Amino acid sequence: MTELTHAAHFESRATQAHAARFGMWVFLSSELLLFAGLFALYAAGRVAHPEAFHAGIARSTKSIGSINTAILLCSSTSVALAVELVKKGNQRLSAGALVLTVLLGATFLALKLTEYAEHFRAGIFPGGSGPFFVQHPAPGLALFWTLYFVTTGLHAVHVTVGLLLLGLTARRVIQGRIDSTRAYSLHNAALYWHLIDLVWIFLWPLYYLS
Amino acid sequence: MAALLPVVTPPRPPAESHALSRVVLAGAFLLALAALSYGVSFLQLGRFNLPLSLAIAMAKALTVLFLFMDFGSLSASAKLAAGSALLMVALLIGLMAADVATREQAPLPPPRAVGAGSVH
Repeated sequence: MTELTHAAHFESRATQAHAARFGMWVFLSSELLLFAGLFALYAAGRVAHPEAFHAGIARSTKSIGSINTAILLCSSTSVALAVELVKKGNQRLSAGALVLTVLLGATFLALKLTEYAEHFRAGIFPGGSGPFFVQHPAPGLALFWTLYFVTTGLHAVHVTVGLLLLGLTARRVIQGRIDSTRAYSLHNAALYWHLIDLVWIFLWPLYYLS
Repeated sequence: MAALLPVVTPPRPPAESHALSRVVLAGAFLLALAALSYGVSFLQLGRFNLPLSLAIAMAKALTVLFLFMDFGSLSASAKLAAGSALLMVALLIGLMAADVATREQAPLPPPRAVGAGSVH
């Protein structure tokens, strides 16, 4: 019995790869729309409460946010390397690059949780609740921090899903189920991780820098 | 039926070593841009801080999009899917900006006469 090189309902492996890639881009487009709504809310809030948003940015943990940016950029590079290595036929190194990506992503999440804990200790909670907002009752400040928690929280959920996806993909690469002929499967997982990186690239200046 | 389906020709992969070095160089470029964003955030440029930060962020996003996600080598159908999403985002942001920019302020309540309503 010979193993099928592609699913029975596809004409060829190239058609299957094309369909998988197209489906992934449709999904990424829907994700873009999801985050765009939150970016639009941020823009409207910032126009209405510029001083409060500046105060919120000044209060955010710039050091952790910046380290996390470098971590995500490195992880995007390592997952892109994993894709190129598997295309080259070097599954072992590709799996290593994927494991590195997962470790970097986990570090990002750990730092994010540390950051949240720091905000909670300072009395900053989503929805404008907490002692911080009693001392600083400006409505724009509550809006800034609520948007911060919702947007970065949604991003952290995506990071968690991405870690699971990359972990499973790394296992399939190690098992030899993803090789140079099935690289599109790894490429799709990498595309999801790059989207996470793209979203953070804009979150960083808006919530930490300026 | 098969004749109706598009003929898919996978993009020709670049030379292997070239592809790897391209990824590493793109990663280094991204980190350099991030360092630039961090440095710019300490400059007092007033209202130019945010546009400059967003311009650098856009440069990073385009680097990821074209060098890591291979946007340039996408099929026309995938480009159409991504392009329609970008169009919807532009509509969303554009209409929202138009609303905020043109919204009329609620009129102030009429001034109360001095002493009116006060209880002595």
